[in-house]
Amino acid sequence: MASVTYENVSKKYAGDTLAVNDLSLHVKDTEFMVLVGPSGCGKSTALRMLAGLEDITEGAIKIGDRIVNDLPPRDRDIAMVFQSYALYPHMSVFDNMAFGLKMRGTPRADIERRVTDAARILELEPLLKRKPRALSGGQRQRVALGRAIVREPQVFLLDEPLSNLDAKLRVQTRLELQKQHRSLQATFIYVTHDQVEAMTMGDRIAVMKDGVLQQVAPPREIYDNPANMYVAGFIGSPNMNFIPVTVSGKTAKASGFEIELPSAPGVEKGVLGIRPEALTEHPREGHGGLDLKVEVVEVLGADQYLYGTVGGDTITARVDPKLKVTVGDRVRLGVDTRRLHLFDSETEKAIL
Amino acid sequence: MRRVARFGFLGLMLLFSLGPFWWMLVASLKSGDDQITTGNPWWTANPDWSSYHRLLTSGEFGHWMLNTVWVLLATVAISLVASALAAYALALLDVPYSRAIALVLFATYILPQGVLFLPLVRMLTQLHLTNSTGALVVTYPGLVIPFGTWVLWSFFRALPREVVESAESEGAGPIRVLWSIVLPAAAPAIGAIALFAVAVVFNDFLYAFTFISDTASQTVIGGIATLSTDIDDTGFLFGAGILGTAPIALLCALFADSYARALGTGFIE
Repeated sequence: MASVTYENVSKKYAGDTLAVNDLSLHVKDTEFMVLVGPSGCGKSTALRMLAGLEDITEGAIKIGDRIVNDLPPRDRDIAMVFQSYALYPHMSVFDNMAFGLKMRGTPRADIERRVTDAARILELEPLLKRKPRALSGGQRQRVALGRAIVREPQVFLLDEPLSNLDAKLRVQTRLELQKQHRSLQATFIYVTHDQVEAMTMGDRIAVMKDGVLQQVAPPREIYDNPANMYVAGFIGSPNMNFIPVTVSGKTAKASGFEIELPSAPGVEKGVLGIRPEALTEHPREGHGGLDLKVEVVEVLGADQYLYGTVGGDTITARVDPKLKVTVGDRVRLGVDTRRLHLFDSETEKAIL
Repeated sequence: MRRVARFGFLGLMLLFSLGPFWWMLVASLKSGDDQITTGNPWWTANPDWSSYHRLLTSGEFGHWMLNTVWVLLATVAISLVASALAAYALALLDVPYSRAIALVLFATYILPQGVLFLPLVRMLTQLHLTNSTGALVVTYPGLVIPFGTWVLWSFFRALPREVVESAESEGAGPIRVLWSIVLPAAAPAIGAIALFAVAVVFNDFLYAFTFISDTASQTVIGGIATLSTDIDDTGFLFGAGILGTAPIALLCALFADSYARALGTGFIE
């Protein structure tokens, strides 16, 4: 088992595109770290550099205390699970899982034992003789994971391993992966564009954008204290409301309402961030509130989302589904001021 | 009506392709006065198999057959190894302009064989390879490798990149990746290339006949040509023709399907 450290790592492709820009990140031993961001944000490149599938343009990557920059993939003691699973099409499930061990000259009896053990854990035993093309998507995914597990690597690298599964299977496999992480006691680095996967699985989340690391923190922290507007907008569904405001003292003034901030931010202009669930249908006296002109209503069973406008700003609110609202209504909503965010309108960094 | 037209057309095609073989067979079974120049070319009342008996026991023909098999095996082996290595480099390693190189390789296949003839003779003479099957063993792969490289190149490129990367991260070096991962996935292509090599060897008359003057070192096709001095013995000539062409015709008939499929589909998941 081992930690992973990126020290000022950059990746430049031909044509001077910076896929990863000065990334410094420390992943602790046995941690489940999720790299999250939209496609093209550099998260996969960061993972592939660690795997040894891409060269590092600048900086150093360490596994444990060892710099691995110039080590070929096979000497890094990592196992990678690919989005497409990348199973060897002409080999049986058994041979797929045994391949890496054979490459290392593991004794035959050992291979047999490790593969059957992994197959039992992943419920692949009846499928060991099958070829990948005779497996379902979920089964292929488990074989890909099994292929990594049998090698008992120091670090597991997972590149969007769930995105080829249907929604139901994805939730199942998500839970399965968390279970495996606990029982394997290994370091996991998991790349995804899906914020739900990031929030549910990660011990910590690293949010990336345009090759630049935006914030690293546990899920709760990322959600409650986003470092900037990008992180605030990326994590959370529906998205956080962003409302431009002018500030005087502790009062923030938007186009359609005024609100008291918990403290004076010391700026004159900013962007107010309010999560949909920080808007409540029970406005408290003296705490200010806003009148939402409802344009769309979505009832999801456990939740109800109201989309509308306040003054010139579009606002989304999450309210009790029992509240009867129809399109065109004006709903008085209160704001939980403890959960307000204020961002600098120039740098987009969090002020409050 | 449509069926009739279709079967009619297919029948015509069949007649067109099998007719010459039948004509050769009939001619090879005629003897003595019943020559091809006279009488019914499509039938003989008294088939005479003695030409075949003479051919198969003559020693010379046996030599040619053995030579052909040896040249064929060597050609297939050399071509497959060279094509696989070249295609692997072009498809999966970072070779600059790999696409252009692959296309140029394929384009050389369009060159008429006659153009290469003189330079080849010169080279083979300097290598002291003329007058032996070695001349053909080094020449034929030159005809097969461009085709083989191109076919394998398109197969290898269709193989998902992540499969190769996965094998690399599991500790396989390039040769191991080629042998254990990439080649098995391209099995149909390998069959197609072998068949193509068979066709090259059995179809070549020019090189075999000109590079090798020693009759004992000839292949079947080149050897038959040396027989033509006995112009009167048409039964013997055509019998040799049948024996020389039958193997390739049979092979093609048997494997045409998988050949076409290999060229048409590429990598199968």
